[in-house]
Amino acid sequence: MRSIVIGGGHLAYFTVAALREIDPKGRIIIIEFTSEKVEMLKKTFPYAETVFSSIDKVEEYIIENRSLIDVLVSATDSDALNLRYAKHSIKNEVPIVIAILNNPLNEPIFIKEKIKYVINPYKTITSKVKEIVNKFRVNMIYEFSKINAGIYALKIEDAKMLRKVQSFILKNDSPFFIVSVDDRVRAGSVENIQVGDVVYISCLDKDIRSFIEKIREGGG
Amino acid sequence: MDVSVVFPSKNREKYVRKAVRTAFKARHVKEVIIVDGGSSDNTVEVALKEGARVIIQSNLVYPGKGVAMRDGAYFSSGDIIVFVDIDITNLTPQFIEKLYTPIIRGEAEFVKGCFGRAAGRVTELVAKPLLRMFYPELARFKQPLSGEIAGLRRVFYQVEFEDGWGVDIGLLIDLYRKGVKIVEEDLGFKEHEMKPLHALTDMAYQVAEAILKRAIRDMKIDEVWAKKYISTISEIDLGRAGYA
Repeated sequence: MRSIVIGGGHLAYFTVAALREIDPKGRIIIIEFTSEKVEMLKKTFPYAETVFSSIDKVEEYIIENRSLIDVLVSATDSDALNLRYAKHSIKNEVPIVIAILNNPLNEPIFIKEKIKYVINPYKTITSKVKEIVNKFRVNMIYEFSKINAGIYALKIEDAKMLRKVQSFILKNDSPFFIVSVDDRVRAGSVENIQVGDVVYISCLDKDIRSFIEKIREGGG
Repeated sequence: MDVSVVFPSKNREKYVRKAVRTAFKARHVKEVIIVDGGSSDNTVEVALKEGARVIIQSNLVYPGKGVAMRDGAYFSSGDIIVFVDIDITNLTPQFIEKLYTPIIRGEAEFVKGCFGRAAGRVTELVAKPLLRMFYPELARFKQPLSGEIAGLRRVFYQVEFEDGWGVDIGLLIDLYRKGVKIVEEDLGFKEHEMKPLHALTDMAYQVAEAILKRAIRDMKIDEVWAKKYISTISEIDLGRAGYA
């Protein structure tokens, strides 16, 4: 696999490490704009190639190498640049283009600009806090990037909600597991779900959306 | 030559429509960019409706004027980038055109706007004295902190932007040092919201820091002394020191 990572800061650090783990023999090229950072990156990632470039030359580099690139990750500390490079790469038919956000408020703008894979590193904060505090009846725990599906945590507060959740799981044949009040994990059939449990369900967004609305409105 | 006009903004719903429309009326302007600081009003929606391109600045710290300007520069595609404050109530297409005309004529690569009024408090009390000390060649600028600037895109890409209020003075010093052709252009009268005094404290500190950092880099000042000074100045209790 041949990957290009643009940027040499925190976001790029984790990106390069992940790409290396996915394909230890793959080629990773890091593009950075400051010569001091390039030297530091060479020491931090001896297995990667580092390219010193000016901001305006990156687009040319992508065009010249587009037939060789499998993955491009724009992970600079500027969302303006990340959007610009991601759009350019998509236009030049790079197979997988990922943009990493610095400011989560930019997510709708990137989506509107048709950037399919946008990583919002801050999203985990929201879902983790919700999962840990667990005050709501329904929490989205994980959102898949390639398919419109996710993992949801449903807190079974009463017998009415228990019946609804059991019926939803059976109807949609959704994989699930149960976590008891004492945080122990239980598997098994829908009959094993009890009031007080939290049920983690993996399902398509379209299947669960109206169900969640009813639950949130208190129609559990 | 195509021109990109960049307005850094936050919660400027009441100004954004006029600003975008006025900028589009200026000659050569191909795009107007709003770099938003995370508005809670309809600044972004109005800007998009008026045909501006919008990006939210890369950090959540506000005011992060330098980050907003940097993002605007990186987002733009024109040969010339113009930065203008969004809250200028007497903004006209001619006001904007005046900023970049010396560049189109080949007389400058970077233009600093100045106005027919006395310079601001931070300019007179912080920027100018420090410039006279360390960069006397730049003391000729009437308003070195002016946020109304224009430059060739390639010129902005040669330097790093300070994150906060030090951005304007930082750009001026760094571009001068790189030998960029700079002119100061009188833009006439600028009518806009004045910042309250308390809002100027951070600004004054960041401007001083930007100048001192460069004075160290350019070996115009002792590094050990200056770094100590920079690191402690914001912690000095002015009341106890008898300055209040």
